[in-house]
Amino acid sequence: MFDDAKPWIQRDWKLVAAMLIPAIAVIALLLYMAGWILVMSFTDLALFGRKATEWSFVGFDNYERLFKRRGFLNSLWVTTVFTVFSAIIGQNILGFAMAAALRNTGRFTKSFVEGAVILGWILPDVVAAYVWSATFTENGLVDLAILQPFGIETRNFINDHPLFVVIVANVWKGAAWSYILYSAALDTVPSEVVEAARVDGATPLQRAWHITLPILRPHIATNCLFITISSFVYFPLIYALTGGGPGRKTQVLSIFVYQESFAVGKLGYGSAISVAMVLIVAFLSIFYVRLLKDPR
Amino acid sequence: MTGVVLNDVRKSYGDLQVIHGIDLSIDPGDFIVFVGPSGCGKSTLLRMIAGLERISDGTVSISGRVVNDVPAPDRGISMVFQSYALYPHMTVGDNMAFGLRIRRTPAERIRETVGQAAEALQLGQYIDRLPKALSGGQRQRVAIGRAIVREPEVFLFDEPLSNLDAALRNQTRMEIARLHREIGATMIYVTHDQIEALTLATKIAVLKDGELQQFDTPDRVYNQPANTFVAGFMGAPPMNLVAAEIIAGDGGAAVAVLERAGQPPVHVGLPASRKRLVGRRVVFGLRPEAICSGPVGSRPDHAEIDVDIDYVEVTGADRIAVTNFTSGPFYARLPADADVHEGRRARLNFDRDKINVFDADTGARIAEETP
Amino acid sequence: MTDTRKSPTLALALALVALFWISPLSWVAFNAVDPLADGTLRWPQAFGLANFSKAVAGESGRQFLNSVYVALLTSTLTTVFAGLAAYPLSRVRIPGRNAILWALVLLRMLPATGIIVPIFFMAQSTGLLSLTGVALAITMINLPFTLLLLKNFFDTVPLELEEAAYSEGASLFRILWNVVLPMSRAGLSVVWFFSFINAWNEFLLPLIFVRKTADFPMSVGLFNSFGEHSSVDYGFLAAYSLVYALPAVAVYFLLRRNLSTGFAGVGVKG
Ligand SMILES: Nc1ncnc2c1ncn2[C@@H]1O[C@H](COP(=O)(O)OP(=O)(O)OP(=O)(O)O)[C@@H](O)[C@H]1O
Ligand SMILES: [Mg+2]
Repeated sequence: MFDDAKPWIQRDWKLVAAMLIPAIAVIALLLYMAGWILVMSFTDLALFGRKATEWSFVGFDNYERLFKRRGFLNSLWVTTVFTVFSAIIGQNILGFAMAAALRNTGRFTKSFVEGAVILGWILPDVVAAYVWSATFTENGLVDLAILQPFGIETRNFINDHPLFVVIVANVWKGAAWSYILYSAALDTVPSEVVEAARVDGATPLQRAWHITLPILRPHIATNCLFITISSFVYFPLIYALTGGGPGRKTQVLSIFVYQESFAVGKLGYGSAISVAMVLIVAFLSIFYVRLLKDPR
Repeated sequence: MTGVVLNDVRKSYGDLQVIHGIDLSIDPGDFIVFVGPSGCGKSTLLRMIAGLERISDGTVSISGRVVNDVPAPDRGISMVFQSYALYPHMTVGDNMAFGLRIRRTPAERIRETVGQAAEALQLGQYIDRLPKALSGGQRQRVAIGRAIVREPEVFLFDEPLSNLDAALRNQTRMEIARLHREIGATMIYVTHDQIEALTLATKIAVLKDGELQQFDTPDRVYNQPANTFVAGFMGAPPMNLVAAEIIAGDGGAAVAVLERAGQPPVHVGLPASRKRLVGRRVVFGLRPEAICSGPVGSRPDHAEIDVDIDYVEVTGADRIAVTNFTSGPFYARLPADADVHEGRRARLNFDRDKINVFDADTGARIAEETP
Repeated sequence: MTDTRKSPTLALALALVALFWISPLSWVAFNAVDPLADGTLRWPQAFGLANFSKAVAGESGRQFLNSVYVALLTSTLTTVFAGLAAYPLSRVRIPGRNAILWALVLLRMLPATGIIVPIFFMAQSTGLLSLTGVALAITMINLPFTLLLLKNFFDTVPLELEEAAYSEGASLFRILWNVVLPMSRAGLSVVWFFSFINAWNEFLLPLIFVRKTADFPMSVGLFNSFGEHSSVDYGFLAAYSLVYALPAVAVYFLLRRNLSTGFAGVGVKG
């Protein structure tokens, strides 16, 4: 099996084969679990109670329920709003803008701003949740520093505008990732090309639009793919900040799965939600990969 | 000292055969250069000798021992790679010592050997530097140093100078030649630079499409190429190749008829040793430097032709006149003071004995008859 | 071209950006150093480290060690497994290699929340509803991504270097240890860092795996104490948050130099 391999690999091929084992075992396990979810989604298995032992196959009941009950569609909507505003608009654009702006600033400015942004990224999710909860609470930083000076009535944002709060928190938490990727990507743009455009008389905006952005297109697609998916399935920050509430106002899909499975205990239904989530993520991936490949 | 023998060596990648049976016998202490166009299989052949590439068929022997199944480290060879392959995270000294350390050479001895090699290659002051802090030429010398310290019986070089600029290339080439003189080990060297081939080699192997075209001394490869491919490949500008038909002239002497576009054909009488060519279609090969210019009858023993000069390239020492003699360009390397000018007619002459003759169909060289 | 001194708009924008990222931390910082903190946002009434000493003592200290255990175990296992498998995947044309790579690409997209149920049952049936189980589960979830990442890094190590080492007599182990690994330092750092931070931050798995407060890692510990609003000791919570955040920040800044080259690789290869 290693006939064509390099001689030092052939010589120790058993060792090389053994090196693969842990990874293959893990892949097999993950695939097995994915299959398990799929099977479970056609049953009425429950975490506790009678259905925990005497479960049965129920066909597409769980999938029908996705569309007949309010929970799933609501969560899908909340997740979409959350993802579009926090990742695709917030993190992506802010990350790109900072990467572009910090390219030519002084060393100190760059280190300072970069350090601040990355600090947000490094902080554990639960700490970030704690920080933002304190910032948006009644008489928190936003109330004291922004609303009060302008004479606007103070409020508890977490109750009044919960989705807005989690979106802001996620932008704060995740923009560093886009920033880091775009900084690295901007380094790969050949400066001659940009200079050539400058010699041709292109304004900075024209240069960005006609030269830099097209060159960075694959990086942008890769980044959007990454941040879209990670926001789409994001759990800890939102859960620790709002618990999905108040009501179902911030109940994103991941929280919905968790609650249906572990609080309500409907494992079959929870699995169907998981399968739907995986399908949506797969669909998004295909969409971005098409974007990545197709030049026009 | 060690000789290397290749016996019907073949290499296939899947169904694709890239080396088609090469026989080569390399004497101990020889400096062999493999030349050929890109993709002809030079590197593949070298890597099979090195033990980095499996030998699909045939045998490779080093010192009389078949090494097909001997792992590379046990073949008594050292290889210098085109990219130098220096370990970027190790200092110059560690790079050179790595192979010795693996062989558990005593530390004292490693220091000594590496020190000597570094001195010999003028790397003494760089011993603690990382490769990225060296110039291209210095890196090249480290790579050579790494090969030397293992005291191999055979050195293998794969285009070691191709990443250097022209001046450095000349200098390093001379160092490699000196190294060969001093160590006297067998060396096999891959290049597609003919100057390197002609100056370094004791014998040149010319390859094309995985087949050996000629294996001979530089002088014979240059002046008596085995076929039209070698003739056209070696030399810059290359040997002029002109189709000719041989007819019988006065007294049965062979006369070549060279067809010219839009002008009457030229007749060139051939020496007696070419008598047997009469009636054949052949290709003449004539080195540009075998051609002279001068007024009518200045060299009565030479054949003369009149040509229109299309272009003259002045290279300092020489003037290279380009004409359209038959179909392709025809080059003459003339002295700098030669009286040739663009757009004018000129008379060129050449020594009939310097004509190489090849078969028109096979391209193979047709030797002169010995009386 | 664009210098902050020459472009006041840019300077103002950057200042606002920095303010947006830094100011939310003021609450934590003020409360942590204020032994009299009552949870409101105000300048510290007193300075003292009393909150911090509570945040590292007793059960909190246990939780800190729990987090260290999970993070170190996860990052070690992930780096070793990914490193071992990435080499053959990068160098050998194993039959089915493309199938494996595709499986990895797809599994990388698999949301962890989506397979949390089977993970829970599997851990339950193997007696791994513990911190070790958490570490193993995170390792498993991280592996597709880290393996692909490291394979990409190994792909960039020139084969000629390995050939040179081999012909000098190096064994497979030597080639890996002395050539491939040192040259993939950036990639290994990124993988190690990623899995460390992931495990350090992990919240969902310990939330469902671990029942006793003494076994909580800091993520669940913090979550638990700030859920119980009436009797909250805000100074303690703020200090606890800082203690929890510190190792992550420290690890980042220690590895920073290696990481920045590594991240560049992540971006280009995706
Ligand atoms: N791994 C491989 N699989 C298939 N074909 C290969 C492989 N390696 C080399 N070849 C083919 O073998 C032939 C010889 O390659 P080789 O590298 O020996 O050429 P070369 O003479 O060294 O050329 P260059 O001067 O460009 O270095 C080429 O046609 C090449 O395409
Ligand atoms: Mg080659």
